[in-house]
Amino acid sequence: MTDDDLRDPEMDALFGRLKAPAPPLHPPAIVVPLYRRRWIQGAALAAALLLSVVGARQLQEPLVTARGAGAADGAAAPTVELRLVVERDGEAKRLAQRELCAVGEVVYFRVAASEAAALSVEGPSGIEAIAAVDASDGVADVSGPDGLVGYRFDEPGPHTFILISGPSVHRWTVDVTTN
Amino acid sequence: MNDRAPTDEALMIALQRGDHAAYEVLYQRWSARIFHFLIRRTGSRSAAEDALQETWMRVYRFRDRFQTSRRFSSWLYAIAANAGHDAREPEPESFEWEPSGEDHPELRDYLVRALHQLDPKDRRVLLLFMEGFASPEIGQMVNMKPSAVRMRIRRAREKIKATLGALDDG
Repeated sequence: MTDDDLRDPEMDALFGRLKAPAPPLHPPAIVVPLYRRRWIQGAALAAALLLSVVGARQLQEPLVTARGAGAADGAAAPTVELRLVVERDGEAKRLAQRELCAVGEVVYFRVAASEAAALSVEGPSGIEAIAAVDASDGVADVSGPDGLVGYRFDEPGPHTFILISGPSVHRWTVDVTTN
Repeated sequence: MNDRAPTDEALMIALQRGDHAAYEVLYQRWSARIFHFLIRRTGSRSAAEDALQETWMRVYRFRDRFQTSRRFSSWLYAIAANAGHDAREPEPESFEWEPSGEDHPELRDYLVRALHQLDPKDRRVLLLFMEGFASPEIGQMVNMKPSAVRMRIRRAREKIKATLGALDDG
């Protein structure tokens, strides 16, 4: 059996009619990593990619959402939702609660909040502010003046990321190890 | 003056040397074709978009591994064949489709589902074959012997014919 025996121009033409819509206009952005600070801005090619790779499809999944006061009496309650993404082996991976991370890994953040929000982290050395977030239009990748914000783990132990928006609080904890 | 466009391989060398504009040129040159491949491979637009992003992320990340003795298209498709995840359920509405008067009204849906019901490896090698790659080259891309590639292509075609035959019978 040769390749020629396997050709079927009619079938190929039929499947060739299954066209794709236009792809995104530009490739994922390239930014040179600068891991000099414990929390970093504008970092990494990977940063811009990670959150986009996670993709709109995953955003349509049911959100794990914290609801503030007001939900009980039927009023529209502010909502906040925080997602953590890390790059591993060239792939974007969304972190689950209590997932293991390694010292040196960098996480990035995607936030949904109906009001202005503040993101901080409580690690073995205490609480540290990371960024203010304006996600009033729905979902936003956490960024600063120089680009996306990432947080690099530089010590082992539990790290709890805390997103506060009005009366709502959302916490996400990962466990950082040395290997 | 040489006004010929640089080859893909020359652009990869430029990218390896830090010319990020080459990355954009490669994307503009290849993204539509790769996206066409990916949407048929994954079965849905959202899955194809994820896979496309991952493909180009890997192109950049692993740019130094590209060897100029190899065709860029082969390297790129090898990445795309393994990037992202196939959709759990195909979404025929993701595809752009221009019906012809002779078509069965459900032809598009049947084609999409016929592809999706294939074994994922069979689907990959068949689509790579449809893209014009020969079985030895596909074998390198998916780490398979050429004979195994050809066997999978034949099996995939037979299964598709059986599926589409059911459409005619219906």
